[in-house]
Amino acid sequence: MNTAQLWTDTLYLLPEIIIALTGLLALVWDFISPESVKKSRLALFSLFGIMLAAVFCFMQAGLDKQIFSNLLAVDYFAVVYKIILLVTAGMVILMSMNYLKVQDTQRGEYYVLILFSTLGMMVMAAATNFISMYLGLELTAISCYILCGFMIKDKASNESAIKYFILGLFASAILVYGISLIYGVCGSLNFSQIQQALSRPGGNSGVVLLTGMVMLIVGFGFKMAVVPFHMWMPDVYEGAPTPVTAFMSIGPKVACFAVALRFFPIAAYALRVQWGFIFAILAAITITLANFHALRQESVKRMLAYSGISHVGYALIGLVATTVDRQIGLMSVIVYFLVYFTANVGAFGVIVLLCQKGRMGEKFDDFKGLGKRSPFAAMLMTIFMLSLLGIPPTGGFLAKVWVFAAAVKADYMWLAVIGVINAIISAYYYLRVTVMMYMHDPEEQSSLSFTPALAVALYIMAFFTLYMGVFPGSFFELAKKSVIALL
Amino acid sequence: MSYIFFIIFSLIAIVSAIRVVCTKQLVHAILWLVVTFLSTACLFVMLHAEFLAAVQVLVYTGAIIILYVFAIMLTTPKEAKTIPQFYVRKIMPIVLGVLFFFQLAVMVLTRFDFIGKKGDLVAMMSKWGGNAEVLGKFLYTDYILPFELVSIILLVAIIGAVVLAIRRSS
Amino acid sequence: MVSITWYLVVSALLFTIGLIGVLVKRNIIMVFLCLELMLNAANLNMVAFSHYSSNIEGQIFTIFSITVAAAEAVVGLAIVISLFRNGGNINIDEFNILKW
Repeated sequence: MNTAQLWTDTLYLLPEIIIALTGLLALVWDFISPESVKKSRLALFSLFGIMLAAVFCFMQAGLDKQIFSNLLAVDYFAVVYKIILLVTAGMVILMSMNYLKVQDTQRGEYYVLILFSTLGMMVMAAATNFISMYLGLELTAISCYILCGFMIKDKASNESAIKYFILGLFASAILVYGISLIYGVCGSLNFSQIQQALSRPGGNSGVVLLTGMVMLIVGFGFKMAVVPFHMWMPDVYEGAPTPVTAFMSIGPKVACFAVALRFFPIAAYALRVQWGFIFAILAAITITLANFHALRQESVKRMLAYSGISHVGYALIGLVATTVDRQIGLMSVIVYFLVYFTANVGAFGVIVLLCQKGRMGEKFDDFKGLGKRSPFAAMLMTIFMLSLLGIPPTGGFLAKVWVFAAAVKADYMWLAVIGVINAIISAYYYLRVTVMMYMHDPEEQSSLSFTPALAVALYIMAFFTLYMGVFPGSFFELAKKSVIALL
Repeated sequence: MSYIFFIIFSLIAIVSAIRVVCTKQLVHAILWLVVTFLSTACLFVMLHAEFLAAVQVLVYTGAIIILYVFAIMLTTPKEAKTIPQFYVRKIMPIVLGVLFFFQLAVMVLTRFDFIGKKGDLVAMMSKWGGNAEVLGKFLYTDYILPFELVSIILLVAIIGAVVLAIRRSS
Repeated sequence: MVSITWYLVVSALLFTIGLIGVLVKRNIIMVFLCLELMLNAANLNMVAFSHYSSNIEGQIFTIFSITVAAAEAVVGLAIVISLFRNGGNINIDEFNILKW
């Protein structure tokens, strides 16, 4: 790789560079201006950086290149995922401005960590090599450990951080061991070269390769919080500061899925029977168990944590479907995440609106009479809940139908049936929030405190949730283009 | 000859790893971990990865272990420096672990087909003069992007240490 | 030349010992040590494969994974210290503020 090549490659990396620079500048800015008045300006500055990066991301749409000697790909798929991640980060920063003020922990490092974590996820979304994938993953994870424990005086936050840390390191160790086995058999860490090696006759058997594949799936399972490996995940989500929970329940999962979609259906397509089988079983138990746990929760935050786990299960159904028809399967996963992330970010945004000092506003009881206290927040929450549940006018319905249709087409009828049954069961806990809001009287009369920026952002999320349900055409087009870039 | 060295170093690594898990004293466990890391570094040398062996000694045994010692000093009260030994309900993980090892061993010993393309590392090492030269060449050209990413990861770790471990007096 | 199989057996053994340690040990710092052991085993695997397939990528990966391990150790111990300062116990069994 010569110098000229290096410079042109750097140009393709502009969105990531902008995010990194914003993070560095914010760090310096935070250091030289210690008064807490400036922190909201820091947040706005981070937001500006994210918007700029998103603009440059849009400009990359339509490119199809491999940069930095095949470490990263610049294609439509990466662009779609990066936009999802950037919008999530932007929303989380808006929520945090509110939340940190309420909790009285104004520290500038918070925004820097969110930015660096987003950078890691963007690298993951574009990674076509295990080296860049691993570093993106670790950058994301390390930032998230710190963010979990950010409220250093709160014991629950400490505990959440330590649990996430142990889980994360355990997952990394298993992941690296699995990667090493695959590397040993295939002789490369590059996805396309692994694909070539596996497609040779006789390349898709061998115990070492299969063990590596299983350990890779286990490692990803931990990172995506798939059921037998979810263990402490709900604890982590409950203890972390609420905006961070919103961030973690979308960002790392979406980024891991981006890697999984690049690796399993494309590079490891020769092994589709094996991973298809494992993922099918994982999807079934993930959806079912997470659903039943979500039924019993008293905290909305914890309920959303379990619902997030079950949604990963639904997305896994789409991944399983790629074993037969790659295009339909991949499209269904992308559409599913587009819908899931808008609704989930929105729901967490409403929880942040309800937050009071301490751990208030997270229980089901705190939603009592919200319809009277703040009709606007109640309406938004209803839209998001309906979308997560999958009721027709919202995007959630469409996404679920697509995933199930893909499963049926791929001859995984039983998986689709399990999915439908669970979607019906999930109505209980999603609608419970709505019932609390409209059919109970408020216990306190205090009005909600929110910044206009967050309100506008929530309106936009709700608008897209409905828009995707009513006019899905443009989003299908988006998913189709990104899948074509991948195949 | 290389067999003898291999057996010596791997035996030291395994025995000290077992001591890490079985010892009662936290500080002893850390010292045994140092021995494991050092013998792994020796195995790296036998695999002609001399630079990595040096990194292993410097970073793992030098930096990380010192960190752990500090963490013990800062966090563990005196009477709690010994750890209770394992008891019956911990049999299950051990059985699982042993089964897992047999799975790995069987996998390795039965059949191992290399299906990729062989590289030319040996040729490069003799051409450029050694392991460190080849690694440097690659780190600063083909793998410059991960190299920069790692610098951000280290920065994040520093931020984390400052945020979590330093209390601002209010 | 020692066959690669034996390196793999050693690394599998180290990995398993670390795994058992993680599952058995209750002291947080002990768990961290065992996790380092597992990572170390994975690194040994990488280097062995890199040598036998005469491919540089494994060694590059190992350099990065060692660096990342150092960064993770820093963050992990910072979390432990912040937990300890709040009067928390560094014993896994006693993490009970958040229910399982």
